[in-house]
Amino acid sequence: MKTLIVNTAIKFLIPLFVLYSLYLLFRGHNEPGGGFIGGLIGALPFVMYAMVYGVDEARKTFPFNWPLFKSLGLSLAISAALLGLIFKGDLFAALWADFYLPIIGKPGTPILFDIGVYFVVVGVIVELSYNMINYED
Amino acid sequence: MILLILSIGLLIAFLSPSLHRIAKDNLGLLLAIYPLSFLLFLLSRGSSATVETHTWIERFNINFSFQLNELGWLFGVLVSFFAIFIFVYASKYMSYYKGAGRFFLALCMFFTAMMGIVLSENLISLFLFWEMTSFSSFLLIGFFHEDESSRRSAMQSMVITVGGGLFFLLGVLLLGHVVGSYEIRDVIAQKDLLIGHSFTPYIVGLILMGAMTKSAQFPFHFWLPNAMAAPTPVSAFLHSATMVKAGVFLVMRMYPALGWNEIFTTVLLLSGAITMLLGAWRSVVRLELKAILANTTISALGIIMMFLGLGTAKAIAAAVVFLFAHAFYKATLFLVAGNVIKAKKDKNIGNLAGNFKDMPQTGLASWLGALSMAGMIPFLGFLGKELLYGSAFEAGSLIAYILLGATFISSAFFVVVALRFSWYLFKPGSQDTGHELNSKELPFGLTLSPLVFSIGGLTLGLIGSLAFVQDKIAAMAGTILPEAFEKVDLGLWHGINGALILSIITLIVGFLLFKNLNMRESKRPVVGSEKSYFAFLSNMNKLASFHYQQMQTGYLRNYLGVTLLFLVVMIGVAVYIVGQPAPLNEILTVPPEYPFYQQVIILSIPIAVGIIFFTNSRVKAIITLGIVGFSLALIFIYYGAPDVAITQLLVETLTVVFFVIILHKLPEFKTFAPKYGNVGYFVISLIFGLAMTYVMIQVMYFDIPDTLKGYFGEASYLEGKGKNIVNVILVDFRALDTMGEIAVLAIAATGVISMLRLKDHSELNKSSNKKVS
Amino acid sequence: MKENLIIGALLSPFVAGIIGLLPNISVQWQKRVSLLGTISMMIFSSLLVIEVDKVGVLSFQAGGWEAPYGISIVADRLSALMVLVTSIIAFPALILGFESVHKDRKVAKFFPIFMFLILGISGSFLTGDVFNLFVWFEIMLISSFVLLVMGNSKKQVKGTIKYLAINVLSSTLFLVGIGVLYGIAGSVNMAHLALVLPEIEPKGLVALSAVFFFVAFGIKAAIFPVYFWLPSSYHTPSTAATTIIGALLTKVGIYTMLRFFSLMYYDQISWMQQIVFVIAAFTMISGGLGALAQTNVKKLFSFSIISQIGYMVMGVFIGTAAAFGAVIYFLVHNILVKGALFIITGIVGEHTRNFDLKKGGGIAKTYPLLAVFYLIVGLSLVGIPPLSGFWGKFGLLSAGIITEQYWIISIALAVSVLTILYFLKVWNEYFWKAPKVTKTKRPLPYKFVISGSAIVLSVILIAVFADPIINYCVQAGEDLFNKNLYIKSVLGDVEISI
Repeated sequence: MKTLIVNTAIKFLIPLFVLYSLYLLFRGHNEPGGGFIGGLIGALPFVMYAMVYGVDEARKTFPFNWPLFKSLGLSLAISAALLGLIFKGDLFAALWADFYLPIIGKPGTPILFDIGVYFVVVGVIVELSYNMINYED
Repeated sequence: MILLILSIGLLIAFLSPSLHRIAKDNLGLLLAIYPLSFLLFLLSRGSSATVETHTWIERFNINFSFQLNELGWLFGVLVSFFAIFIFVYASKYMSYYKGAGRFFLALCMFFTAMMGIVLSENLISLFLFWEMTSFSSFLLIGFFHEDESSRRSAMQSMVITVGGGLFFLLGVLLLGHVVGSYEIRDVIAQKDLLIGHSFTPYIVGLILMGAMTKSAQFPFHFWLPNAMAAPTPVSAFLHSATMVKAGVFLVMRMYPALGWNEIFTTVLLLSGAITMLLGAWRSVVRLELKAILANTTISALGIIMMFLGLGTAKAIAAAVVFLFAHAFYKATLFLVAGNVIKAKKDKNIGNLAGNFKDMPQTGLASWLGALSMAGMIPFLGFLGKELLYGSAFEAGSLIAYILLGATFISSAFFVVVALRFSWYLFKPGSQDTGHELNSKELPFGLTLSPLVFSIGGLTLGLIGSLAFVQDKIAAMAGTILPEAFEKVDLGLWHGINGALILSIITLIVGFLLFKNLNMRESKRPVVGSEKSYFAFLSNMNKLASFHYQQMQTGYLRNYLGVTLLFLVVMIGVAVYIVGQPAPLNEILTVPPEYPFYQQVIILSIPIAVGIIFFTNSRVKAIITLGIVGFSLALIFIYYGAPDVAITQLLVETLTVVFFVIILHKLPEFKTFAPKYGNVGYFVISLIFGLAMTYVMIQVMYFDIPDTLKGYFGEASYLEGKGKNIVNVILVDFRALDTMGEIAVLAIAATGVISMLRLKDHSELNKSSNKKVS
Repeated sequence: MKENLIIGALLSPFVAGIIGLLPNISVQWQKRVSLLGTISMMIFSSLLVIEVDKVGVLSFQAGGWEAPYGISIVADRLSALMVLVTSIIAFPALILGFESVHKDRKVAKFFPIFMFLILGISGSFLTGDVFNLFVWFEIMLISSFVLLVMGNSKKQVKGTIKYLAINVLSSTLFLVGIGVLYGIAGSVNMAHLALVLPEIEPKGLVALSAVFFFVAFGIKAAIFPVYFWLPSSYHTPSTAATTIIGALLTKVGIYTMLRFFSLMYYDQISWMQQIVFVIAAFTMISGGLGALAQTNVKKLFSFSIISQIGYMVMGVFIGTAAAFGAVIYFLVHNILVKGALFIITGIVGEHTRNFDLKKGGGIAKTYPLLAVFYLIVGLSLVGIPPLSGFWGKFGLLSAGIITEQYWIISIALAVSVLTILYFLKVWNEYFWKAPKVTKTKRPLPYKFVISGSAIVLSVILIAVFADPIINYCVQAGEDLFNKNLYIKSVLGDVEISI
């Protein structure tokens, strides 16, 4: 599998994939996309990188604490729920800012929630595939 | 007040293991204060009609209620009097064994339960104490539980009595349903409701089941002789005043409500008669001391039940008096047996002749008890037998004469047993040469109680003619059969009449039998109900293993197949009973219209599935599975759900990626199912698929009310502030669902990783063991 | 805002689970957090029961979206009680786990997953939305799967694969049911469906959707003939996992059956009744016989679960207010007693390293405390008054008598004999019999004592406070039967014509 083309391509593709996944994440509220789809795409390059270079190399290159991603994602999601409870009296009630940001659009707790989903998906898939690649009988 | 005493009693019971550490071998003496105070309480209160009620379960109208009517009061006095001296005896007796603490726990609980039964006014609280006697006697019978036969006997008594209790409970429930109350006085007051009610035969039968199992009536008699596995004081207590008398008591208690019923009396008569003869015969062909006595108990219980079944005023009074007589002599003789076994370390009567010199006090008690058992004047036993005979003569019917004959026979056998326990075991002046005696005479603690019981039997016989005794007995009989009881004649001498002559003949016949019957063991069962019990048990076990092998084959494919078939059958049943939503031919006349490319997609799915079914290669299976997934995604796109389609595509991609990662690490592909065994599963799959299709076309045939769709369409932009409805649903309308699903993801990842990381647990154990060694 | 009690009861295990999943958290802290989560859940749910008992039903809409558009979370008397019982059984199971779970399993996040399981179960009890229920079921399924497979021995994996496969099938059928339901009624909100479903023509459609739910929940509840997964998977994992899964998972199936067939599908009971009674009878008998055939204690009590499930299914389909009340009491009783049996025999098994009845023995002598515990709990199971099992049986039998369902209650009663037999079998073999090999007595770890005492205490307490508890349960049954309270609480003042 280790061909020069793939090796090189993957390095260029990673930022592209990640950026595209973020784009999908944030446009999700209005166009097809969202946290789940974004997360799946965001995780793919890291999985491929590990398949090409091996898990140890991948961990060295991207020293993220992958298991933390899912905890972080769950916490973000639950914060979104609780913010609604605290400020509007209903669990998961949406809070919206009254201004627009570029790319992200109107910030609000649903977007925060979607970011949580994104993190969980990325974390879970990367962690799973790393463990699978490393699995020995 | 009664509830309080009973509760304190239970408390004492639970404390006795701790008390044992303080009181040591005198625990029984200390605990005897409990029945003593109960006795004093009863005597000071006297009998009364007042009912003490405590609400228990308000919703079900169930109370803890107690009364002190004549029947219950007298029974209570009897039970607590016996308990005092049983406790005293047991105090000494148990000092020879370990575990006196738990012994007295069970004994105290048993005594409390027995008092609860006789004093309960509410049927449900009676049932509570009823089950408590079963349970505590289970513990007592199984006291020597490292012995297999002890365990088996304990289990047998528990199964029979608790099992019988279940029937009793159902009877009580039905009774409560008919009468509308579980209070016995209400039941009695409204017994007219029962007359002619279709439930009544069942109620009678079920309640009798309870009484007959408890009182060891045929065909449930066999547990009682086995129950002698218990320590001797327990046997004495169980056989004399308690446990087995509970069934008799229940019959007496329910008599005013059910006594009019012919099924009730007939069953009592029949099973009583059989029980009586069976027990009497078996008592003379047994050699083990306790077994002999146990069988006479069965016989005596049969007599009591039978005379209750006869149902005349005199017969009832006779049953009551006989019950008292039996209690006294049976307790005496059991304790005597216990003493002999204790002193001589032998329980076979054939080896034990002539103990009077070694144990004169025990011998005296034995003589007194045996004379009462034989029905000698002036013992209580004589009065009992006189009344039995007299009432049968008086009733005069054919049945009564048959009863008379049966009673005569068993009384004669009683005489045999009595002579064996007096003349044979304790012939005055004789000396046992076969055994060494451990000490000159048993300690006072072991001889006091049998003496008390035997003298009690004599005294009651002597004072029977006193008016207040007769009044009490009459009053007690009066609560059983309210019709006209003035007094019961308990005089010793009524002149020469049929009963007296028959009594004398009984003694003579008994003596002759004693002389001529060889003492030998015959264990050949006369009837096979014990055999059927064991057959029931072993068949149950066989059935259980057979059933287990049939159900849990261990093959997942079987399980899935049955599950799918179950669904199909249920769908079929629903359609059969409720009817088709729309006739199938009506639906099928509307041809579906699919464009060509959709037909391709739809067709490709079953083809792919078919390939998976027959392939032997994992790669092929994965690829074809991918085809199914991608086809689904295309269908999603067609129906305007791009988000879902994208997700589906990505998940499919990811699945393939994961498979690629893991593929070369998997073991070789194996086919487990036999080649043609697949056909059955293929058929099941096909049927299942057809059923699902059927349901789907039915549902599709009707219009979908689109409340939600419309609302989401409008609200997602206006209130959800997003144009992508699917996403707004996911992160806002139904964010809770999404939250759950990401939790599922996180858990699944954790689980899979732990599976991948952990080695086989058992191997780990092995390696850690190695380190230790 | 009394509704926040519901949120508190759900958040406690959830937050504990999330914290426990943090990558570098030590086992010690995982334990502490789980314990804290359980206790906090216990407090919230106790308060919830008290509040609900005052007003009848508490509910709220997630996100504030009015029903039937958003997700309704509803705590009526039944739900609140179930959540409380869940937290009560979670406590001793957790303590037992602290002592007995193998070290490697702990590292692999046993306790956080345990918390998620509790979350899934409580969520299932509290949701008022059919699809949301599916999600809670998924949480429950996946976390129970992970707990069952942890430890990774071959035997475990073999059993758990069956568990997973059949339960995934059940989930699929459930999902199909939801699809059918949405297809015919256009809603997934239970209260809304309770109004809509009776109006739907033709009746056959509604019956078809009911069948899917009955089978899906039946698999969860382990009824005959779809209980295979239970005996093949329950005996292999660690005792703490078996306890919570054995005590609760099947009861969730019964709970949902009760909820669906009282609230939404009440008119389906009439045609299903006799068929379900046949199934219930087979479930009782088959479970009882299965238990009798076992020599492994865990397996024996797994079958015993099945047997008792039959009673509850019978109760649900007797279909009167009294029967519903009896089923609710039976649920509470059975969750605690089954949990207690698994805990106590589990303690014995873990401590003596033997779950085999044939090899066991002598426990009554060496550990009399455990023997007393077993007797109390076992007699509850058999149904000896005044212990809890009696009232469960009493309630069901009288409900059966009033509705004249004689044959099924006779079978229910007869099966009690089987219960006595296997109760005594375990007692004789495990506790009374002299052991073949006398081992040196090691003192019980204090965590075992705490765990056992806690659960036995709760078994005793439900007997001591039988009157108020039965009162509550009967009221809960009447609420289920009348359903107005529930519907009004979710949908507000709508026209209700039932």
